[in-house]
Amino acid sequence: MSDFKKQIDQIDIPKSLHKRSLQGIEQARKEQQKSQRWLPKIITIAVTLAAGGFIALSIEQGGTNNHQASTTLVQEQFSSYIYWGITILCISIILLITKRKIGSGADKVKTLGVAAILILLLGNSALFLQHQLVNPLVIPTSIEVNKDEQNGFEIRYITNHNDHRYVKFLQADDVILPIAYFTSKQDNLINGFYYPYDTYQSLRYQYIRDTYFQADLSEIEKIMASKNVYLILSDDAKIKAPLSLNIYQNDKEVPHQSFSASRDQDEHVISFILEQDAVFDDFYVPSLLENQIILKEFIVNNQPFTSKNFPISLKKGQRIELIIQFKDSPFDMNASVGLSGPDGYLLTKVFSQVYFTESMVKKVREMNE
Amino acid sequence: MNETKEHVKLLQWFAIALFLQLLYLNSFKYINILQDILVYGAYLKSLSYCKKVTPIKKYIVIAIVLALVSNFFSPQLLFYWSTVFIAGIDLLIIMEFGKILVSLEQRYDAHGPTARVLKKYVIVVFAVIVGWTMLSNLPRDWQIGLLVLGAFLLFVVNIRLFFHVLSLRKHVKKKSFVVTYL
Repeated sequence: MSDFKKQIDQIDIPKSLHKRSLQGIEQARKEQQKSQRWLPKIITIAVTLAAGGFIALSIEQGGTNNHQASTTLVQEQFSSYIYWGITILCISIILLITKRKIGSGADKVKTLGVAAILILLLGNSALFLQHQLVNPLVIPTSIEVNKDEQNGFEIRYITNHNDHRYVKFLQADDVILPIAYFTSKQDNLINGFYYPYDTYQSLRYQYIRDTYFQADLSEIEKIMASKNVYLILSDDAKIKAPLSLNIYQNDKEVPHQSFSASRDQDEHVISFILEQDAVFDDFYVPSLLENQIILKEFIVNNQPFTSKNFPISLKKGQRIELIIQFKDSPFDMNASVGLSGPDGYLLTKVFSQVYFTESMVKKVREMNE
Repeated sequence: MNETKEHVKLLQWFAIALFLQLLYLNSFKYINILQDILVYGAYLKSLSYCKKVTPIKKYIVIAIVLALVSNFFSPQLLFYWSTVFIAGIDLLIIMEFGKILVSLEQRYDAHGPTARVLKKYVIVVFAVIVGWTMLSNLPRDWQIGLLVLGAFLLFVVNIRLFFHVLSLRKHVKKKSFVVTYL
């Protein structure tokens, strides 16, 4: 045994062999690390890009809070292009890196998997950002108030899901109305406000939320005279409110009995029974809604007529049925609709709050332009 | 410590990390950081018994940074990104550990189904992650449904892997006794 050991010890080992083995080990280590190095790089690039995007988004949202809503649509369209531009750029970079990595012998399945996830994430994020509102939007509202001392009215507005601000005041020149509450909702107050219980309807990206205000006649008159009405949010941001107020003029009304019935989402049927003879020559709607509500037809003695048949003369006790149609632009109303003529008005109050869909949010954006 | 004992320890800490992942503390805000620290701590402890060079430590650092960022900043989009990224990084960590498991299995002639278990694990988790990339554009009910379904699938594959690691540990331990006895 010891002889054998001596023989082995006597074998001459060339010095270059040790060097070569060291080189081999070094080479193997490099190759082993090479295939693992790319993944953290892709992740780092993606995380950096994403973080940059988030910061840009948050700065933009913070910066636009105090801007007026008139610039909102332009900003939204502009940011929509930016989001898709960044997304396409990022996807191109990802595809380029993926191609290179596969070419240089990286794990094909893993590389494609990471690339697919990143592309899906970027595409979905761009779609998400495209549907986000830069500022909350107020739904166009037409309200008719009585000549009473106190009047209450409801205004609804649209916010992103993650927008936790709430309305504090309505402002029109020097009139500031604090938000009021229905007594039935008093239990839901949190820190003096009923957010998040003010959510009226939940959409995919937005909430429809409501506010309620009370004003006396002098305040109503001031709001009517003011060109710009704003809702003031909890962070003092102003959002423009397309609000139309008018006061009910009952002294000019032709005596009648009225009945209102909603046929479906887009159509209302109103019927009147006259208590005196009268002539009517026009269809009457509040000024904000002139192009939004049209008189489809009116029925007298089971005979259908259209607005082309004006003027029309009606006798005492005669029944007239108006079929009014709402165009698909979304608005809320609690105002009088009917006929007008030399003898006065034939009006009844129509209350309608639109049930929102995704596409309607886009229309409100356009109307706020 | 001899090599077999180190391998047993490696498998034991890996099993602990998998068990801690099953607890789902991450449904509660801020407590998820505690869970992350425990899980990643167990991964690191497990790695300390392995001489192989792996990028797991880098993944863990990225995952912890993401978890911290998503806890202290709250844009909605960040939640979706961090959910997908953290799940993806966890998958990459498991895939790296999978390589170690396969090499151990070969070393101790376990003839176990590690490759098969891991393949199923990767496919299921990848499908969950793909589903979660679409969270941002789904209605609220679908979002909750997809999150719950994903969490359930992750639970199932994690528990399968957990039991597999336990059985592999048992096998390696048995081999070490045989060596000692001989």
